[in-house]
Amino acid sequence: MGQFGNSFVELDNLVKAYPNPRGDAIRVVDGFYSKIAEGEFVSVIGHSGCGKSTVLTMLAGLNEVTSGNIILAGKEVVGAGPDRAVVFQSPCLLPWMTAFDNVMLGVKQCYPKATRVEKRQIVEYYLALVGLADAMKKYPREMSGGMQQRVGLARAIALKPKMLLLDEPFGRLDSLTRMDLQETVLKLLDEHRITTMMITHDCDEAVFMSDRVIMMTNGPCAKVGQVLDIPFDRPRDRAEVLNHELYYDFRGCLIDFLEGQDHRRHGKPEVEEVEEEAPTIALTLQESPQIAEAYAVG
Amino acid sequence: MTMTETNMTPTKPGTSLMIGAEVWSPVDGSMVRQASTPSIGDLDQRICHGASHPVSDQIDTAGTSHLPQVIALEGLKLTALIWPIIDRGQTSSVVVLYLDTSDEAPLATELWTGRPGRSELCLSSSSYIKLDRFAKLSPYIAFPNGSGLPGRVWQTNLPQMEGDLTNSPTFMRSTGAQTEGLDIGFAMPCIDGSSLAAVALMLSGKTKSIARVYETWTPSQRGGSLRLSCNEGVYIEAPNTQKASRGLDVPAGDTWIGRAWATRQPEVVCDSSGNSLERSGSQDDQLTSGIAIPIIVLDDVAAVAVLMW
Repeated sequence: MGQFGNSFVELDNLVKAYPNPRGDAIRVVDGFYSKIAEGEFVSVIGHSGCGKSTVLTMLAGLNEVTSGNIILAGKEVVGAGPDRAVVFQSPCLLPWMTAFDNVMLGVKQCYPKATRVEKRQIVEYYLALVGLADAMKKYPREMSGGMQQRVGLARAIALKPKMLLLDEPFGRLDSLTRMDLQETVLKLLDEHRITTMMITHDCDEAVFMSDRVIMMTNGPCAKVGQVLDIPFDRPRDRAEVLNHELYYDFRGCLIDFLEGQDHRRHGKPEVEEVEEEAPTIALTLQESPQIAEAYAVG
Repeated sequence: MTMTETNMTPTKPGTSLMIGAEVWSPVDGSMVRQASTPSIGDLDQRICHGASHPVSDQIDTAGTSHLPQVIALEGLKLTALIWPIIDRGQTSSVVVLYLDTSDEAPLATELWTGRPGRSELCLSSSSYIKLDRFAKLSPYIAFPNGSGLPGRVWQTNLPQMEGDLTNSPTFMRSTGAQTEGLDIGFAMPCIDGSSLAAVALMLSGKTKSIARVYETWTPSQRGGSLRLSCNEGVYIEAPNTQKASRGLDVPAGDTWIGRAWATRQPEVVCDSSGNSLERSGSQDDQLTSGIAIPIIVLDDVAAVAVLMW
């Protein structure tokens, strides 16, 4: 905790609503707040359909925000842009192109002034970084799912994005490949320190990879229910993380939250959280360093 | 530091962790105890007959910093929550709530505050009795506006309470609460003008609860009186008080609850002579002490939080 400074990304009261011909618009996401520091790795976890990917696609600029704001590096996000690279569950490679050409496609867009040799070096560097130095000339059909996802990852990072958005990137992989690729991603991020948001269902993955895990409540009207800080040092070693005295507590915390949400989904109906008569004055949150100092001393 | 005499009256045994409350006010540059409600005979001895008041430093700190404090007084087997009331930029009084930890009933007392670079409330200070898992995990947890008891306090500016944490749709640590035997939650904002300085959260079991009555009274729409905020009451073995509270109007200045609203100062009551606490049903329910704490937002008293035990 506390290793990150001021916020680099701000998601302020994000709302995504879809029109409903039978009545009021349906709010899928209803008030998502988060601040993410530069270089921080944040995971978003929640039940299927809660709106995790909706938040990510809004941040990517691929899905219009109904209300609220997204600020990235001091600028409001409006639409998609090369400053945010997305890796989806499916690698979405162009099947008629080799791994090299798939990565080159983005490099040409993002490095228009680079020479042909420089562009080639950039592609080779990033493909080697993800462990595909020997498979650059292979077509997607000649590669395993894990290898294809590595190409997708190289393609994303080669753009030198300010933010990397991972939407269940390991969801289709077997467990061994998944662990291998998780470590590849962490190694990449240790070297390049890209601010990252990852959507996942996997509690172990979230604890192993993240600096912070955002737990979303069930939809509709999903929002951040709780946030868990993961204080493990970087670079991370899987064995060390698994042996950390807090690992299973953190994992249990995420599972408890999801179970609690499940209980709500199948149990009692959700009650209105805010009293009708509640005052509407929005209080600002005191967040001066003096507060931390006051309590540290106390 | 100046202290006045205190009253001592037995409360219904074995049901409440709260065993006393004090109100301190600044007078000529130092904090003076204006009122208190100890209700177990040895409390006064525990806190007053020592060489010095055990939380005098924290009372001064709360008064000057405008930030509440939690302190575990292990030798005295007490947890103290020290709570500044800030009115128009000044500390008008400091409330001290004493919780008995001698029989080790589960109890969490937490303070949640903002932190630079974060959009959530994070844990700043805490004390736990028999809650190993909560103690271990809570420093790593944060709540955004509107989520969990602290987040709901932030969203509404009002105290929030839960009478059944394990089945609560809005309490985020419900599974942990179930594991550790927590049933009751009470959270209250510390507001400095237009900003939220902190949220205090207290969690306990039902058999040994923090208090026996938890209420939030808010000004009625017509003004001039306080009414129980919609659904905002938790009652432990206090059915008569619960029944009497529904639909009750408390005019400004009337009873200790109305006085807290009118004077913008906390009010404590302690039944030392067998009289009721100016509340119907309280005598039948064997409630002997209470405190009303004004919640001041900007220039107005937005609510009065009431605890009775």
